[in-house]
Amino acid sequence: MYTELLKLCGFEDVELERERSRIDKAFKILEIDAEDCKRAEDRVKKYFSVELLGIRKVLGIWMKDLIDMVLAKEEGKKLVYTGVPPPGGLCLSLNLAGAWCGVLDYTLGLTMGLVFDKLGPILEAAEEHGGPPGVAMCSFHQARLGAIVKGIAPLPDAALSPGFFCDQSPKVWDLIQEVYGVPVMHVDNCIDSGWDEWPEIPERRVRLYAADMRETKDDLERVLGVELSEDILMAGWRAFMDLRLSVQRMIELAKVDPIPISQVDLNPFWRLVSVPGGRALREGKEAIDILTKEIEKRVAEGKGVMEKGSLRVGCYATPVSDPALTRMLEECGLALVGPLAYYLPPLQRMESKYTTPEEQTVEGLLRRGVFYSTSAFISDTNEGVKLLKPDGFMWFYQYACRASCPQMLIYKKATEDEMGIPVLSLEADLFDTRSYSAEALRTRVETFADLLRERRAAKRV
Amino acid sequence: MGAMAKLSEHLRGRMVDLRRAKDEGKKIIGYTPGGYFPEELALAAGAVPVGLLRGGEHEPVLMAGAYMTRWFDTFARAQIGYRVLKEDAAYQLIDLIVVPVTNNHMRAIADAWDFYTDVDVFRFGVPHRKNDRSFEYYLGGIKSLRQKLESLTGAKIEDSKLKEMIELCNRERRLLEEISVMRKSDHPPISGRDFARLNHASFLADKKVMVEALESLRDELKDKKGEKPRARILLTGSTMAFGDYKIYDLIEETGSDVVVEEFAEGIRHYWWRVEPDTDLMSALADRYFRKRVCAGWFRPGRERLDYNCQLAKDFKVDGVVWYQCMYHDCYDMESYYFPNILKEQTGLSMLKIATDYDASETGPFRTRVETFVEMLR
Repeated sequence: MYTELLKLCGFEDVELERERSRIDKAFKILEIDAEDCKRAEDRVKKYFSVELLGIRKVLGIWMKDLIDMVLAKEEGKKLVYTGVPPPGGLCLSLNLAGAWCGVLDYTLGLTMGLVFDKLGPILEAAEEHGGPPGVAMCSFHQARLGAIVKGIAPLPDAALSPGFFCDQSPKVWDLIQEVYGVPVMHVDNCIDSGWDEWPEIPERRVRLYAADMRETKDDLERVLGVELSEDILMAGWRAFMDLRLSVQRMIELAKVDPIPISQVDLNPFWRLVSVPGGRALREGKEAIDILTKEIEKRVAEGKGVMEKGSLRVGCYATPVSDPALTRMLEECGLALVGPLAYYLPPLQRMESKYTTPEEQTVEGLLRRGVFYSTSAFISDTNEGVKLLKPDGFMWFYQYACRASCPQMLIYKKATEDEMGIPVLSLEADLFDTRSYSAEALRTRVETFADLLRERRAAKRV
Repeated sequence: MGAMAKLSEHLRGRMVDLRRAKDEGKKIIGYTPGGYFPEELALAAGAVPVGLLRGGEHEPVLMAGAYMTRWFDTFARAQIGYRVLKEDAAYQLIDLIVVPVTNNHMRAIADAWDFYTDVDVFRFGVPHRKNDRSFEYYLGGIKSLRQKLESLTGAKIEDSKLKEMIELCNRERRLLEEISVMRKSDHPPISGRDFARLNHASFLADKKVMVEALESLRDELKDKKGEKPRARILLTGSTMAFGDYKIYDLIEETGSDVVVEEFAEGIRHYWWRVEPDTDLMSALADRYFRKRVCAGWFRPGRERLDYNCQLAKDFKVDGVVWYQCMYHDCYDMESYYFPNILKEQTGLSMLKIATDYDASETGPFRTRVETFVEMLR
């Protein structure tokens, strides 16, 4: 039932045969049936550029990651879930040490959501078991809780909870610890930087997080019975940086005119670096390199997914599970550029006085405005706007994200005032398509596109 | 005139007093609730601390919609609303707003004030776990606050003055505690609503006036025997704002009463003392961060839930009402597993109510409270 689908997701014939019993087992646990596979097949064909090998590969990476996660305990692997933002280096180190470590929420979002469009029952399960319903709770965390409640995601040996950005994520772990007895290791921090403190990296925040991380590493070794030597930690850190740097060429290529590739296609690539897991470690670089070459070819041939000279709209991030929204923007004539979430900070901000992987991890996060403060996020965004020179900017304002949603009106006004371009806040959700629909938002996007067109025309006069 | 009446009179004129103090060059320091702002520092700097904890009204929440998005804590949304509405002088008079950043809701208040007003905002972080590192982090935060207050007021905070203010604040806490524990009696001499108002007054009143009023009130209540409540209720949740008394009214309408409130604006405000034997800043951090029972956004937050069970036993309650603001996610999640803990440790039941400070909630809330109390019989 899934052969065609998995071939679209880059599985080779040999690989399919070899993995068949694992796939059968995992799909049974995931309650994926023939109808789901057909729907997924149609979605992949409709939304993704599956003629590109790189795209097929990256979809396969996430599908394999899902299967690995579902079967990890059964196959005798240690299982560690981490929250967002994950300490990328440590995650990859744990994978190097033989565990499955990743961000369960995203693995589900990129497969059960993006490919199968089957997150609804998982979110509903969370809502029946302590997750505040609908927009009262971020759908990332609902997905995590729901998958555990439904038994789709096995109970992990440990959970790593970076309480860096959001309160909900650690609290969901708290709930899971109380109800299911999962050992949770919290890594703490406070977004308490003053409005004018940016871009100086506050040492107090680096030290607190790094010390917690060091302690967490020791706890993980104890709970999992694995050794995380300095060599493994450094190897994980280097692998993470390699992935991070390898997408930079792709970022550069994605912004040329005409845009050579859709953000729908790039979405699963960005997640290889923002939420890296074991498959990203083993196969991510290859997929990135393949797609980069394919994009380079398109650029050389002057091929684009939109006409040259299309209206360009900057964005910070795009929805994880819903390709329809991004496609609708393109249909309205808007070429989406960015997303700024994956741009590395300018070189002058890259010098470091810190030496340990833990310190460098938190420093790396703090160099990005979003994890630093609201004013830093505004400043970072506006720097990106200067770089991309878009006609307008678009915020996908995720209803239930307590860390970013409250300030959404501030972001919009600040970018409009400081950069002098129109900004549209589009109420959507990165995971949960129950609370909005691309078609319901279409008239707003069309109006925004008209506005941008008229501004451009007025400039020419 | 009784102590409560005297205190009410003082509060009625308090804004005029603050205006006068400001005109005379005193700095007015507003602070957000949660219990992590050591008032002693502001007092020792010669400034006037004012707790910004008004809530319970829908208009400021509606007004906030133009500045912040809807999907987060009602109380936090209301805070920018009060500033914009210009009806509460406390929100207009402040020279500085101090925001101990405890969670995203408090951070959003700081951001809104930073972006939309010209009021100086000072933030410091409150870690979410209790250990030596987080203690040091909090201590570092209040040391920065001390410097900020010194630079704002131009007055050095002398240790002798700080010690004096610690003693004054300790006195206030002790008196509030003495009055609060009178409610352990089968015939509480003060109603839950009156005690909540009294407690809230301590966030706004002049400290010396407050202490005098509390002393008189304690003496007045000593031999008083109140009505025996039909059911004794422990009230817990996210924020018990100044003016948000709807839940008290509904409980009292059933003949029941709140005998203890577990909130940062309830028992966590007065229960523990600063022990000024060691370094004073460390003593403040010890009381405000380490000794006080944690809030719901702590990870893990079990300490507070166990504490609630203990309070339920100590105050001989018949049931627990969990009263929280809408979209306060941490409390939402705790409210899912707390009933089991409560049942296991005390055998009691819990009613959860989530408010958006909307008058239309009153009817449905009344039905739920009445049914709950009926069930407790």
